[in-house]
Amino acid sequence: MNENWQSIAAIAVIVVTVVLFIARAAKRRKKPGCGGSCGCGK
Amino acid sequence: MSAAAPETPLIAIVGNPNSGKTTLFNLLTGLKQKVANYPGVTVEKKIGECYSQHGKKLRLIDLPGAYSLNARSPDEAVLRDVLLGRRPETPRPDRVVCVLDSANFERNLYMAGQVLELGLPTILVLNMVDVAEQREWRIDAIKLSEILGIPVVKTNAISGQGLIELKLALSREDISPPKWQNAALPEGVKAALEHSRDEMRQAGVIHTRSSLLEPLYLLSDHDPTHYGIADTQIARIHELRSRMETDFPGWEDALVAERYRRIEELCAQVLKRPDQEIETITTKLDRILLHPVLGFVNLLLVLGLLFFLIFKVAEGPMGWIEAGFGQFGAWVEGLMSPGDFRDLIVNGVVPGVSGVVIFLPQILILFFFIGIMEDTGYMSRLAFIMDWAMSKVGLNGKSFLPFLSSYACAIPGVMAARTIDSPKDRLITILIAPLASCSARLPVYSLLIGVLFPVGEVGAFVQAGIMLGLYSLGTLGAFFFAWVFNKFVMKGSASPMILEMPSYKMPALKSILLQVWQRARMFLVRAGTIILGISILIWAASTYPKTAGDDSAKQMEHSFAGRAGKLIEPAIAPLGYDWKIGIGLIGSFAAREVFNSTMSVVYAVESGDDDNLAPLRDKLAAERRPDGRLVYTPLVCISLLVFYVFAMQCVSTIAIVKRETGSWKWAMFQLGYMTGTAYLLSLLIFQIGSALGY
Repeated sequence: MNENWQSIAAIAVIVVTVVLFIARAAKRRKKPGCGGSCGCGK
Repeated sequence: MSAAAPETPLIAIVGNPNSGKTTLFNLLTGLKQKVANYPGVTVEKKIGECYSQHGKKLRLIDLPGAYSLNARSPDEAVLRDVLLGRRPETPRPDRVVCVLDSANFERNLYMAGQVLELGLPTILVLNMVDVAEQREWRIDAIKLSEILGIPVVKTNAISGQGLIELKLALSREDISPPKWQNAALPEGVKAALEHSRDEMRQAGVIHTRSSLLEPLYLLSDHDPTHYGIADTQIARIHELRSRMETDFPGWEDALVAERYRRIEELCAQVLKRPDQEIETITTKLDRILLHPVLGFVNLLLVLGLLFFLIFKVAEGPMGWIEAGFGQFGAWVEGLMSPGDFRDLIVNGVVPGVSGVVIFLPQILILFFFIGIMEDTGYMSRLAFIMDWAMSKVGLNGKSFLPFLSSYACAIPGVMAARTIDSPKDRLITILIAPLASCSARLPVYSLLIGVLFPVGEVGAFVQAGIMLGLYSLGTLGAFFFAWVFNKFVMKGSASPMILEMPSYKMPALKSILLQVWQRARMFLVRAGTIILGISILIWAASTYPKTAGDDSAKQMEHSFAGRAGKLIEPAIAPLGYDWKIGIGLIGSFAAREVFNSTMSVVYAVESGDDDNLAPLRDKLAAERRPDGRLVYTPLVCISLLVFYVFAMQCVSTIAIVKRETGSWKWAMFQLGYMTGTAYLLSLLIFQIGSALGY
């Protein structure tokens, strides 16, 4: 993968991450709680 | 776990806390189980599969432990609702396995009697028969089975004794409803309950076919939050309850007395015990472990051993994980040509995720130890010992159990505060719970202790001592603030604590290892999702916008993260922190352990490709300010450690506190007092230490 493609791939990964975080936050707003992934076992 | 066919029978396992119910569930299901939450509550829902002795597939559900079906907490409300068929997502069980602690046979029969009253086909399991035999208690299981008309099985969940008999009983499809009569109610009370049932049916609180027991348990519900009942229906239930209390004063007490009378009658027929109580290992051990002085000394020794093991035993596996991530990073580096994507993996993902995952062995040891303490029965003694200390600050041992849970994670701790009857005690417990050093603080503590005392320079004993000191500091802080809140914010007297002391027993290793595995899986899932995501974002914030040239230090300063760190630097400089630590503080506001990931990414990005695979603690120890002085001096490390002992730094806990207290007021108050204390103490430590020449 050349440098240009690497830049595009890195930005794509960042955008997907941001979108997933926003989607997760929106889901949590509907159903508050630790989300079951804090390691607390709840 | 494969999806079970609808015709697979659902068997609920119920029992008092510490009756060995979960150990039995783990023994029957092994790894064929999954953990989820009941919708709307953070109460664990454990469902598993097993095969009967005749090869028939069975679904098992491990319901929360309780002393009665009159709910006092969300856990108990879940138990009541599942058994009554009130939870839409969980079908009413086809059969019930009711587990009794044989050594507490009489007391355990109270809830067992309530379960039998429901009329569901039930198997009675007399667990911990070995402990009962030590006390020379003889329970006639055959006679008990004849009287109740249901199978009765004696087991020892630790050794597996009686498991085959239990599986044979589980195979039976001809179990009749128990011959246990419902507690007799006076005619007037019965008529009033029938009337209440009609009103509840009309209001949609209960379904049309419900028996009299459903309104009975809803009316005698002592859960202050009335979990599982819609807000619109609570007012009606309150009204009906008040009317019952006015018309029939003491009706609930009379019902309890009637149940105990019948239990006594039953015990007279099936239980033989010596005239004088036999001295058991439990009574002998309790003489030391519950002693006001020796008990406390033992507590300190146990915790000291825990932290010693955390440092000594975890050292090797942590090194392997560190080396593994280092090799993976080097492999990716050799595989790809230079560019942003390679940089993202090598300097973002690998150090970010490894910065947290490396501490997995320590977390596992912590949870293994907690499991041993719970399983042996020592945890209840811990609450008893701490009751004395809690009473000094206006709370009781009941507040200590949620506080104790907070050492694993503040969220279940805050939730567990629901079991506290007094609203004042409950609120204070919620406010102080996050001061218990949770498992998310462990990676931060370990990293900074490693910088403060590098491996080889001091022994694991010293590191364990510092760790114990940090945990003690958080605990003392919690006690101090409980006293302050009690004295100046919410005045009132303390309520007494009633706690059952289970008999000591050998820990069930298989069951504990299963729980440790579940924790490990959750920790790794979190590292692979949230921590991975945050590492990517921290890398992006440290990489963009880009500067011309290859000076990575300049790039870091120019980046979004660098600018944010510089922005807060004037506020944190008096604490001894530089702008890079500022980035760590901002990054870890969502969750404490993200401090490690953030610092790993920041130093990996800044150092470029040459030495980015060196351990983070070495990089921190070598970090210097522009004037050549070390950044992480012992004073800065201590200041930072104290900051993390007291600072809130957990968005999930803030959200839970808001939900549990019903307003943002207390959540914001908690965030304010904890962050303020963290800042003030760190400031004092650094400024006084600097003035003294450290």
